[in-house]
Amino acid sequence: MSMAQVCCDSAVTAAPVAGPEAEARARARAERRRRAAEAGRWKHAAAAGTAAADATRKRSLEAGELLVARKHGAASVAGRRREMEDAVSVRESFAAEGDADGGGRRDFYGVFDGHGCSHVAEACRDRMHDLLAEELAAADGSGSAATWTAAMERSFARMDAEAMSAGGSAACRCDPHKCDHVGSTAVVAVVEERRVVVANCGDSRALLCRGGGAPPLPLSSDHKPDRPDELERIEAAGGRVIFWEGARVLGVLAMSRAIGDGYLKPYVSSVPEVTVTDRADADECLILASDGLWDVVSNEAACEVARACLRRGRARWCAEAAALLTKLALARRSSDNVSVVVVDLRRRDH
Amino acid sequence: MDMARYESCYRHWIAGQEAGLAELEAASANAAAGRATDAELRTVVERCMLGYQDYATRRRALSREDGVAFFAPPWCTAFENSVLWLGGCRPSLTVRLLYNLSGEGLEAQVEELLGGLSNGVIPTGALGITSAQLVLINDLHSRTVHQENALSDRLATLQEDIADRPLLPIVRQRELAAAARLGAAAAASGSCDGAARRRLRAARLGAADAEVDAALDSYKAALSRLLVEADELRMATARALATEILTPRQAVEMLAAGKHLHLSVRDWSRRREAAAGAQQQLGGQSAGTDNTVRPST
Repeated sequence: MSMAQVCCDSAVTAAPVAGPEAEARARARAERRRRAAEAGRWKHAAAAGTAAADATRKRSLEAGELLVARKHGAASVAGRRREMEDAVSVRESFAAEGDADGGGRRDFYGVFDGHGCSHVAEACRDRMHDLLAEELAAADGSGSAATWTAAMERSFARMDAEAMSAGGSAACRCDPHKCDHVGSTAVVAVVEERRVVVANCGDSRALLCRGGGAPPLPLSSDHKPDRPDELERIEAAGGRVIFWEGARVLGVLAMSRAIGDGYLKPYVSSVPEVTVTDRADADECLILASDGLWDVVSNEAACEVARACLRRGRARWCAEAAALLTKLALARRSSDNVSVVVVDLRRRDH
Repeated sequence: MDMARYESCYRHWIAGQEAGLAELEAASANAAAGRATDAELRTVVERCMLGYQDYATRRRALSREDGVAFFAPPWCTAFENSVLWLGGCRPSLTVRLLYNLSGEGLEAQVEELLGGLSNGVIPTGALGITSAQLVLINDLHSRTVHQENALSDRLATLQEDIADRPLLPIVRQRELAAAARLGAAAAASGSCDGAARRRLRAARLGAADAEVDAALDSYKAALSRLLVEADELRMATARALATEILTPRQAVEMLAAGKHLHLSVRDWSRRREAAAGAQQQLGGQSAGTDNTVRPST
């Protein structure tokens, strides 16, 4: 495909494209303008907010660090890659629930699988929860699915803008001229008393394990370029999906949505797909993981492993499940970084 | 240059690897039979570490004489040399081997766990790597890769620096001087004289090369220092795994596997190169026959 052809295609599609994607992009542009106008005030407010949040924020989970706690566990390893481009974020009580939801607690979990370099995934780990907390504070208190979707979409758009404007740090090994080629998946889960809200961009995944013999419930859908609706969206925007060791946007990227990747905008979108799922008494756990796990372990196998660890009745069962899934991925010769978070969803009174 | 002594050092190392492997395998069998205590296994591991340290110490002394020899050792096969990193094994490879070993048996144990057949123990594979150990291994992997990259960058800088300055300026300077002398000689003789050109070229080749020798000696010394640091990284990574992260039994298994791989690759590549050499000799004889049939004029 020649560059001229790409330009012509872009010109052809210059006319506004109706639909959620166009609306989302318009919102993202408006958000960027608003934030630019309020740059000074926003930065100051952010700093103040960060200072206030420090007192209650739990320590973030660094790559490779195993955080052992009753409610969740995580494992994250470079595995058979030389570079670690995954990042994991666990932020308990990161934001207060809205009044309509009884003022209970909200916990944030995120898995970010970077590509091209690690700095976008690291930025997501460091900032995504703060951006979301701000959006939730600004949202109406209704807690409706539409409100959650809007808050998640704005958070992802702001994270995308931050990632693309920040570029790499001096510590990065990526080529400074190719920061536009760096991006990250983002699968984010907010666990409330009554619901689990998941927002996903890319091919990491969130899975709900329900008891009573129920099959695992995917809370996210992988954004592969050859998923029919994604293929349609990309081509409508003037892009191409080329098959080179799998489907790739412009023959380059094996996922159709990501944070960052300015070079592949607008074909690679940062608009998340959001699900809001009511919790049930039979729920056992939530699993978030990068494709280093999912490429070699099925949803069913992952839930069975987690359930087996749960059955043992140990306090640290979430950490054990996360570590075992990671080791299983390595044993099955996963060739990528592997990151796994397991969250205990059982009711406290059980 | 005393290549025989360097090769002798290497042969001593190989003999040590073979003896060490036998000792580790015996220790592993004893451990499996419940006849070895942790203290005994730790002693075996420590002897193995001392063997590595002894080899590194000998190399340090010899490489001061000729660092270049250890980067592409003539006593190794081409295949062995193709997988060397700064004159030895790549330290991060140790972690890859450990991931491979730690996966053995895990699949079957997971199946037992899922079937409810196990006694409730969390699967850890035959090697028994725990969750906490996995975190430490991953951290060591990251640090080792980082340090490897730093040393690789230094080699790149060294190679670029010596070519850029002083070697190219020397080459350019001598080309210019030779051209000037050639011009002068041509003028003196009043004609373009092939004989004069040949005499000047001979003089250039025979000229004292103090500058060049100094440059090459400087490069060799820098390679020698790099080899020492690379050996230190190899030692540090192996020691961290064998004595800080793994249990004595796990360390014995890992060290045995590493030695076994090293010796096997050496044997396999020597067998293949010996066969290739024999083939080449046959080819050579044919060529010789051709020469006999058609003597050169």
